[in-house]
Amino acid sequence: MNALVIYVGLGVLTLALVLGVHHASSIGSIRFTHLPRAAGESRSAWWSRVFEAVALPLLAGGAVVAFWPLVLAMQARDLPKAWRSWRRRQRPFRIRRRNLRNRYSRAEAEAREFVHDPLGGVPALPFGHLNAAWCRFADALPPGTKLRAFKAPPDADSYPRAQREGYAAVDRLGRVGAYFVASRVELGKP
Amino acid sequence: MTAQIPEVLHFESSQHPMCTEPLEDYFELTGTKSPFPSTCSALWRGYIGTWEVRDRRLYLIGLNDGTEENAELDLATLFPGHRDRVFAHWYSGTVRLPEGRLLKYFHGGYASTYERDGLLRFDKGVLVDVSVRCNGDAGDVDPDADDEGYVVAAMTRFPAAPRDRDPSE
Repeated sequence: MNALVIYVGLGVLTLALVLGVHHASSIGSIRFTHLPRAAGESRSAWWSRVFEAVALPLLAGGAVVAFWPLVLAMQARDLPKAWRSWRRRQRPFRIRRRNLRNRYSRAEAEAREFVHDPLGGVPALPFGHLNAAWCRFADALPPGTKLRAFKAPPDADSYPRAQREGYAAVDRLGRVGAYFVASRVELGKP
Repeated sequence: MTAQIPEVLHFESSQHPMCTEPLEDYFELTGTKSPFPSTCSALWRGYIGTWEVRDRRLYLIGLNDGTEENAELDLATLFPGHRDRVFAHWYSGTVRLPEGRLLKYFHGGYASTYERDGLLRFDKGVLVDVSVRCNGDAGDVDPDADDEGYVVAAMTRFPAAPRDRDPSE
């Protein structure tokens, strides 16, 4: 009897651990509090919502308590992968010298980046709808800062893996400072 | 985890579900946060964008909030001075338009598989390539399958919460 209580107790602790990890990694903190049946919604659709929101979590929780050694083993197996993924996400995107292209003044860069649309779907400003973000970047640069265009292919150090293009401030020693990304293509999609 | 409601794309005189979110790239590039709160587990992004390809260009032509009323949101809130049409010049990448019957349902993201995927590749908002990827025949999986169209099996609607900033205001 005591062994059973200890087993279930450890199962409950494991469930609390799993829920804590899930809570820490979930997006936002929105909770549902009721399940109103929408007008015109079929009974089967309503039941599937109830199943998803109530029965499924209860079944999953029960399974964790009953089979907690298996759950812990699975969590331990995924740990190295999750750690590597977390470390990768902490690394900011970086521009390397080899990614740098031509040198431009702010005025030259802005002249290159006017966006035209025959249907008037974009403001007549440098970088179009991204103009406000560009101005925030460019206004913060010290006067006389030279910009260099960059095109950075995806590498293992950036997350998400994407090719980025834009302009970067580069000092006399060739060190890359602030940058503005004007275009980004995420890889592995769709 | 819940399958997500897709965006809508008007392309070649037809309306398609679109499993790509170009507006998220806009938020990323401008360093701004989406003002749209989540209303439902099948719509974490909090909006449904309606897009159009016209003269090989990608335009955002509408936004709805995805609630049961599916209220229209004002484009000019995000793009001042552009109430009807916004050229998505910031978007480069491939959009996916699932077509045909469902092959395999997955209750998360846009991960369900359909018979075909229309793939439209854009470079700075301009359409540069169109292709179709064939994923299989639903008849091989389920001989009785006959329904076409995008499927979200179940979702949980969230109670209305006070908004920090109402995008329709």
